[in-house]
Amino acid sequence: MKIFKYHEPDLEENRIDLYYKEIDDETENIIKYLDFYNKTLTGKNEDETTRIRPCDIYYCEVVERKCFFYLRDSVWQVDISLQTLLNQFGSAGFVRISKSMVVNIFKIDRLKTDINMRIKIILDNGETVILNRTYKSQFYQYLEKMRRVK
Amino acid sequence: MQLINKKNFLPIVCIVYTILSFSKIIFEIKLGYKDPNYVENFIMLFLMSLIATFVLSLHYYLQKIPLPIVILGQYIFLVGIIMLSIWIGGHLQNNASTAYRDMFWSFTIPYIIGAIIYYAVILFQIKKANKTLSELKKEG
Repeated sequence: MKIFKYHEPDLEENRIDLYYKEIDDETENIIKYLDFYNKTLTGKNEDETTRIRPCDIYYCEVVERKCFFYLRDSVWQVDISLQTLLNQFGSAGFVRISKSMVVNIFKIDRLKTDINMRIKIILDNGETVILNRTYKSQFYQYLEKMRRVK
Repeated sequence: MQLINKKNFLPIVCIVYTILSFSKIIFEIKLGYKDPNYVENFIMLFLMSLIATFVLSLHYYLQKIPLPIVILGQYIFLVGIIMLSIWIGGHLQNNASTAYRDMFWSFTIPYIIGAIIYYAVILFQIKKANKTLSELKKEG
């Protein structure tokens, strides 16, 4: 696939045009990535509302049927289920780590075990979440899949 | 993900039993040993496979309990069951004087080896996952 970049100082807004004969795997992945990058979700926080880019999410957790998105240093409630989130953004780094939690693998610093052999996921912002043993193999398979795609 | 479920429970028991039976036969051929309680021990092996698979299937329901406690608890439970079955068997036939000790070591050694392998696999998986994560981050 050829990529052309044009510098146009007078352009009102940055733009990407994609020309294709047919949508193959490569094109589909690029479209998915662009969709992911362009999509935002609406987060509520008491009396504030904000647009959240999926790539800014560290992890999501469902507490009492409410879905919370944890960003670098803020928490927002979003009207979305974890399954919908995974369906829409699963290919962009989101993977389930427990029944009520989904993590963005691009925000993970490293994995670590503790004395109880629990697998801790240390995030870039220093927060720690636990990888449930039930979702362990699913998590590792997802990492492998992402490595192959990249 | 539930690894042992209702659908695959019996096939797993059969696989475990086959592996144990083959190991026993090969071991005996290598040592030139002839088991005097051949039939009873094969039935015992099947019961052990059944109970061990059942206990391992409980692993899924014990996610919130720390792993070392689960492994130790399962070990104590299984040793208890084995000792009980030897005790019951002792009422139906004569046990060897070293029956309890032999069964204790026959079970404990493979269990410890299994637990060490399990721990090593966990550590290896973490190491591999950390490598993959850093590769993914480098590539953006």
